[in-house]
Amino acid sequence: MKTFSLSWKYLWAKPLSLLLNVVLYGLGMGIVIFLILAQEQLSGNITNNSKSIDLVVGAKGSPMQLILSSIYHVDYPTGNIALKDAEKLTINRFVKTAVPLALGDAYKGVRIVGTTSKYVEIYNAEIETGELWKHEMEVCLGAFAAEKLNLSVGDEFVGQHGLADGGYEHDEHSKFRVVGILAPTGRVIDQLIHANIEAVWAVHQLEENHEETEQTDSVTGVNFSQLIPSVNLHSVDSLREITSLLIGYRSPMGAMQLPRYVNQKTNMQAASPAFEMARLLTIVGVGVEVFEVFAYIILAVALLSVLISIYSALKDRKYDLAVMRALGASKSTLFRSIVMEGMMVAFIGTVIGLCFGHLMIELVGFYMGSGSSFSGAIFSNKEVLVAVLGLMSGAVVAMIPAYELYKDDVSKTLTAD
Amino acid sequence: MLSTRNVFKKFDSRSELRFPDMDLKDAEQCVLVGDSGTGKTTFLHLLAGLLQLDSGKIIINENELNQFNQVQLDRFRGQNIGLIFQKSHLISALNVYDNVALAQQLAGQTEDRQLIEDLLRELDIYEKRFEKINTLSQGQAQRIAIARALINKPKLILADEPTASLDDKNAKIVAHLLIGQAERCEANLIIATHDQRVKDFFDKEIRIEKNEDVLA
Repeated sequence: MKTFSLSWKYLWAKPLSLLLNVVLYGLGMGIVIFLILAQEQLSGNITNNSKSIDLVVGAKGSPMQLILSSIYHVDYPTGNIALKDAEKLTINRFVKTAVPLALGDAYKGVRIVGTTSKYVEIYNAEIETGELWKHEMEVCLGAFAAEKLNLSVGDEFVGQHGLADGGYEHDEHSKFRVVGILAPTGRVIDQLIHANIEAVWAVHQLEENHEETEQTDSVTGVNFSQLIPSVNLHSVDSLREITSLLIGYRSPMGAMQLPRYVNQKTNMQAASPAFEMARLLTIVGVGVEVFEVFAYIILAVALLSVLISIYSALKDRKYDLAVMRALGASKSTLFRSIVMEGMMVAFIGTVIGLCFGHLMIELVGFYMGSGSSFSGAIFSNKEVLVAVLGLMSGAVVAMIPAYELYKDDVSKTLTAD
Repeated sequence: MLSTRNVFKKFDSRSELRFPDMDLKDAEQCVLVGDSGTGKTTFLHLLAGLLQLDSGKIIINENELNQFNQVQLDRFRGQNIGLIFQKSHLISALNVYDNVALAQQLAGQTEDRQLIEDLLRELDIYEKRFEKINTLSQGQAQRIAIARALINKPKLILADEPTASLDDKNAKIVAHLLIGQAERCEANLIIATHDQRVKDFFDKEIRIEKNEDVLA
């Protein structure tokens, strides 16, 4: 029987105490692992989605709101900007790429983004089925959007006004037709419906015309709906608006000049995704830190529990240890055996914690839907460090009572009865 | 073979114990007698190296215990000395078999399943080998303690009041076992006791008189 086996048998002799210690340890470790994974995957997701986008230009308002609405599609836009102003900016010498976005509609909670095919290039997305949208009222779905909406190539739907689910439906004449579905990228593009920017204008233009017709209809009693001509988009260019413009710099100098120019010389706002997301992570980081402190407190309590249980177990086993010394065990052998017990509790707790942490992040991902970037199958290098530190803490904690052995007088213990 | 000379142990500034010189030939057995408090247990612990001598010599099979460092002493004890206590003091987290196997492991030897099982058969506790300690009678427990002390084929068996908590029948069985096993191992056997039931089995008796000096 090896030291390992002896330590395990001692632990197994008190299953409830073992269970309490490993569960407590596993809980603390699980929260730490979950926070590490959540933080890494969140910041990875943030970085991943804003890659190739140096600047977002939109209506004045909160810069973070502009970034969240135009890149991550999780907030409402700050407003619209005039197309002609946006066009002026695209010919600026610091601008290499400029992708327009027109937001405002959704279908069953999935946002419809009026844009150009350059938007797909930003995310290196590829067509899986069908083709990219070319004509007005053609749409291409992100992989998750297609799965969520259960739509396939050839299907038609009518968009709803507003970005949330439950908005009123647009005119039935403004039906979108699915012409393609993108392959999954793990980025925000998976969760969107992409259409021509003109299509978004057309839907609203049709509606305005229809409303005017309906008004006429109600006044004269004549149905004019069949007489509505197709919208002539170019006749109203000067009135057209877009939500934002995703800009890529031509050179790093752009970062110095362009935002200042936009913010000071135009009635638009420029926001840097890198800066705003760093700010967001700092704000989120405060919350994460609170959780981290909480997790470390649980871990400390678990370690204290291990310490107390080994201490009290050693009191009960004082005679056992003296007998083992009488049988020829050296102090170092018994020291190793006790430290091994602490390490075993820490090891089992760490394994439970790793499973728990990954399960939690997987559940979060599951709850948020398959479009979420949270996954329990992704591992972090930091986990190895935390697991090693966890094992070491178990050993260190067990060393404290084990050290008491060195003070024990075997002869006195054996004759104490 | 065992011999002691001028063995002296000082516990604190108030008390000290002197023990008689002793010589045992190979496989010789004796009983250590004396009133309570005369230091029988202390003497056994000194012979086992569980206590350090303050002066004198203990030589076991030509090895002088004082010459060993702590690690060497622990190893020597594990491989050459079998200890049996008044109470069996088996390890309750382990079953019968593991209690005996543990003694082999702690002595730095490889677990010998055949040897352990043969010994348990000889002591008539083979059937109990996988049972928990708390299911055993006192007599059975003491037999396992004997098996544990004998498994490494020690050259010296030291037993401290091994029959004190046993009834007549079990006391006789345990005494017979100890004597028989010591003969089989060709080991010296020293039993510290004031149990007349045990004393009767031995020809050689070493008496420890009360000689504690109160210094202050």
